[in-house]
Amino acid sequence: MLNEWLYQFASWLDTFESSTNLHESLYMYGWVESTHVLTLTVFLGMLLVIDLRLLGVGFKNIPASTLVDRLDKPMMLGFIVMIISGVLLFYAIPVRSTQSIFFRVKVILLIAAGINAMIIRRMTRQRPLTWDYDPSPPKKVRVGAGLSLTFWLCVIAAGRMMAYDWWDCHKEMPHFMYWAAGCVNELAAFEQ
Amino acid sequence: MDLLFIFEWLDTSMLADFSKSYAGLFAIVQTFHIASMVMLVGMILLGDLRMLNVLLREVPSQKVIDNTGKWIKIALVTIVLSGVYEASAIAMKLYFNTFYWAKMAGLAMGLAYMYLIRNPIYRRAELSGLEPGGAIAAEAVQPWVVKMVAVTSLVIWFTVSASGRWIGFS
Amino acid sequence: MNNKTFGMVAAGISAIILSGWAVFWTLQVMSAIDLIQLANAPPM
Repeated sequence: MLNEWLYQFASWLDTFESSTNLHESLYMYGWVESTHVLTLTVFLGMLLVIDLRLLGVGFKNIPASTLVDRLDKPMMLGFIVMIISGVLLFYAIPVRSTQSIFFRVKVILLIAAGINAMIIRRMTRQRPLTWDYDPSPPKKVRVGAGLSLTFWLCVIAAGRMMAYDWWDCHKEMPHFMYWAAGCVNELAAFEQ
Repeated sequence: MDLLFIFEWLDTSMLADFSKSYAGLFAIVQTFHIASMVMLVGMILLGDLRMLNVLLREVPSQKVIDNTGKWIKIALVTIVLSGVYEASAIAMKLYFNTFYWAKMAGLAMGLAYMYLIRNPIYRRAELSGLEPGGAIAAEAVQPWVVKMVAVTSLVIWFTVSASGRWIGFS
Repeated sequence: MNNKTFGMVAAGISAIILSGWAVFWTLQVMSAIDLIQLANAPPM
């Protein structure tokens, strides 16, 4: 059901001329993808600094609240550019991305990372922070920061693997994989 | 000087036999290469933005720069190790790729610039900033030089990262 | 080397790098525009 709906949505996006143009452009697609990868350094770079501090392994002589407050704006700025370029990349290749198992894993990981980020935000927002100057924050904060870094590393991995065709729909795969990747046409062929 | 022989040697090495055989492992190594690129450029970005007075103005710049140093070194080691592994799988393709050489030249220039110009200028700027006015302030590193160095550093490292992505497009 | 002299050396090297970078990318963009025009040119 959901698979069919997603496929129809992707096929509909695919009918737009601008989607094809972006995909087949000589340079534009490359620029959008480079922007996507380069803003990683802004968004994940700032996130890394905050998480290393919350893990208690780096920037220990700077109060945690200073980093959390001051790096928030550049981090979110990088995040917005990353989302916009990411949406454009999806728009350029909608059907294949929708039917990519790695893209699906990436979206799930992004949601998990987002929920985790909100929990961390709640734990680091009260002022004054009782552990602001402690080299090593409380355990639950450290666990959250560790999870955050793990999620984002997996997001990078999933994004990188989208480029490979190991589990594309046209490949011979187990029934479960066709379902998980949303290969609607291949599933229909299975039924017959 | 022709470096072709290095690439021919790498292409037929045992490492290449291994890296060409396991596509999944190759993708994981690529992930770590990207993640350490994020660490390297992220840490440099933090230092440069601090010296441009854009970020963390209330923290002494020396503290910020000192903290990033360790992570920059860790990132460089991971980048080079994962990079050599990746290169072994596609050695001959890389040798004839313009952007690969742009990236290597940029990397060499970036390292030299960071350790010979950027870090010494930042250290001198910090030291002269700590002295109370008078004769010593006249000897200080000019603020516009510090900003110019920060911008140059950002330009170099973003170009190196972009060239890396562009290897795949050309 | 005193701070002022070292600052001037640093500024000089930075200026060379920045202008080299600007020239390189101007040439890249110009050849890219050529390629785009070639791609759009009617078949001979």
